[in-house]
Amino acid sequence: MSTAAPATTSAKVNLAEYRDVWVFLQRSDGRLSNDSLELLAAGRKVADQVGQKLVGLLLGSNLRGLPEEAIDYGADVVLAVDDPALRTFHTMRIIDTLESMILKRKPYAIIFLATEFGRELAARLAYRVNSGLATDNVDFEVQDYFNPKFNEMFPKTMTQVRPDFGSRVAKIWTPRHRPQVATLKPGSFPPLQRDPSRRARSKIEKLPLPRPGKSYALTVKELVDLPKSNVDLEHASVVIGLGLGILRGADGSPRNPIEAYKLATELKELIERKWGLKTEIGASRGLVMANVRALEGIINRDHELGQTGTLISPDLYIALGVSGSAPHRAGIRAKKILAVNPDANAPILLAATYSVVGDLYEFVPKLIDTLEALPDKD
Amino acid sequence: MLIIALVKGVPARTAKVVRVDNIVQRDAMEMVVNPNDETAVQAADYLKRRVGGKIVTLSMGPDARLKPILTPLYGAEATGVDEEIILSDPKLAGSDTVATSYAVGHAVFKIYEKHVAPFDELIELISGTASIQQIEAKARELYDQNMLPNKVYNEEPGTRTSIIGHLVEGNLSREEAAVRLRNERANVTKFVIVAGIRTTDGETGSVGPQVAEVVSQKMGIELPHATYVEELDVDPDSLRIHAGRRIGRMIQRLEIEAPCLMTFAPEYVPKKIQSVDFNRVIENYYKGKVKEPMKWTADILAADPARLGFAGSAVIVGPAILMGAPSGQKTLDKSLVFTRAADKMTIEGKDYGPFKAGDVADALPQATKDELVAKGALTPFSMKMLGEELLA
Repeated sequence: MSTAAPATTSAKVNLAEYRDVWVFLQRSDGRLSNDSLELLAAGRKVADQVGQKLVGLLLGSNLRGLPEEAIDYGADVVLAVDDPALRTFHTMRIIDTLESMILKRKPYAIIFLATEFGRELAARLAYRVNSGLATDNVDFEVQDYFNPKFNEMFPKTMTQVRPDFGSRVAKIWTPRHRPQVATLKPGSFPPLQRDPSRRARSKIEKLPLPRPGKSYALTVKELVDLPKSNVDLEHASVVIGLGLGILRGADGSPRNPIEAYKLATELKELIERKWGLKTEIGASRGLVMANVRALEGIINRDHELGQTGTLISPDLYIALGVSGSAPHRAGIRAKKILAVNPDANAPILLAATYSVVGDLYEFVPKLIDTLEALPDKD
Repeated sequence: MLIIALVKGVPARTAKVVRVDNIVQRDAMEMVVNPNDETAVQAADYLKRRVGGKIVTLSMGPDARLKPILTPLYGAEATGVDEEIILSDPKLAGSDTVATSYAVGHAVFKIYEKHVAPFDELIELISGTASIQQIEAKARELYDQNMLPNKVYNEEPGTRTSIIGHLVEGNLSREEAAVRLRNERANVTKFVIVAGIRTTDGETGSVGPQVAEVVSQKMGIELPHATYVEELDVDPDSLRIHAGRRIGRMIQRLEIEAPCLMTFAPEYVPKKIQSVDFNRVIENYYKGKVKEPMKWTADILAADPARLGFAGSAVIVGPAILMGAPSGQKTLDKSLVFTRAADKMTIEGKDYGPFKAGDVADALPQATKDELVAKGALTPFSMKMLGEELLA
């Protein structure tokens, strides 16, 4: 039973018993989600380095086609639990299902996506199976890890790399516990090439739902799909991001943020007209959450950039008045960043390809003039 | 309803993180209440205004630093925090999320135990040979300690509406009073834990679900959790919770039997309370607030010391590595860039280049840069250059 008292963490785990790298896959519109393909790529790297199998986990209802897709994108084995009870994203039931699979099969690692759903599953499951958790990783590396405090070498341990307090990364190890539970920040790995020939060498295992009759103190009453947004940040080549900094000029005087929005729109139209690049305007979480009256009906949650909003990977990201907190930057994977901020220490300036220390209300009109003056591209 | 709010003190500016031996030194940093936890306190306040009860906040960290930031939670008009507990012990230093959740979960359990114990004490007295006067004296003592709601005992002048009041007046037999106390005890068992979705320093968002798991194991039940809650209501009769949360591009609406744990997204805004049975709410209130935060040390938790702090942590965090600026970063009007291509240079044994026109020269020694500027080989990165490069 899940509620039984766990062994203390000081109890030694037989590390060698634990094999294979598991990834928890999620779907979107009847296919594997894009970030699940990235997760398969990350898992593939770990599995290859440790010399074990990559196992894709699919828990849901009516999974047709998804196990094959997981194999095509890198899984060696797919464990599928296809049951109507799994249709509603019932956290507690999914954790029970995963727990029972883990106790039976003992994986080396299990990696989730750092999405709302993946985060809570990883956290609770890690505790339940008496292991540790490293969240929001951007990379994994399997290495022999020596810990001076224990004076012990832990062979083939997963080094989990995550951003830490802003502009740094930290390496995290779970040396004495298995499975090593982690979440992967979406956008950190490019998906592998689809390869249907992998199917000949792979295996799909269908498992029954454990404890099918169990009732829960939590019931899902309703699932409502939110309408698709009319802002397509995900596929834009250029994204202009607005932050709370648009509310003030560099001297601290209040500005009407609608002016910044107009400047951004002018810049967007210029880039689309002159370069033919799809350009969208987004906003930082701070600005979206501020519910600025002047921006009502203009900026809403569909515009939100960063970890909790849309993750973007444009060719160019233009950050206007965005400070660039860690969760914001985590959601941006642009080839180039142009950042404008009056505070020379704003984290976004440190991360930018082109940093401009100054007032966006002065800078953007000059940039527009400069770009207008360039000879037309043929 | 007993409502336990998890509130963390976080560094005011994450830039000034102080570490010794790779353990974050919270003593040495300016602290604020984690903004997401303030949202959770609003949710707690909503529940309390809707059904009555008591809000106890629970924090972990150096108590001397936490007291000043927690105390305002009592005073603010919108928040109705009744008691504050700070788990403060050097033994808890260096906790990862698992060890933090272990300690916090045990403290939650302790708070729950503390609030059912008075009922057990009274039920035992009533079922035994104690006189009515002794029972009333005990009830008053517990009520004055803020451990019993008005419904069980109160001293409102001219009214004797409480269970113990009715017992004293002879309106209830001992057996009837014991049954009603057991019902009230069962309500305390339906406690709710609230927290922010994540802290602004650790950013993992893991402690909420893990605390739910710790409390489950401790109580031998399965205490459900819901994260990212944006919509909240409670049925005052059944104490059933209705919660809505956003996962991906979906809204998931849940019905939850307390005890449960919820973490609140910043989008959460308490609903306006249209109509409420004030009598019932007041019945469920406790006497007053305990205005001095209480310090608890690790031994109060009756926890396994091997699972606390660094020793109880499953993950080991290596030293932070500065990611630094992207190579070739250019600052407008400040960075120096080459006006024409330049060959590889070796200066004091270090190699630089070769450079193309437009490459940034910021890494070169100052003297070399001055020399190259004088020759016209370097020039500040201008608006025109930026315009030409930006969309190339």
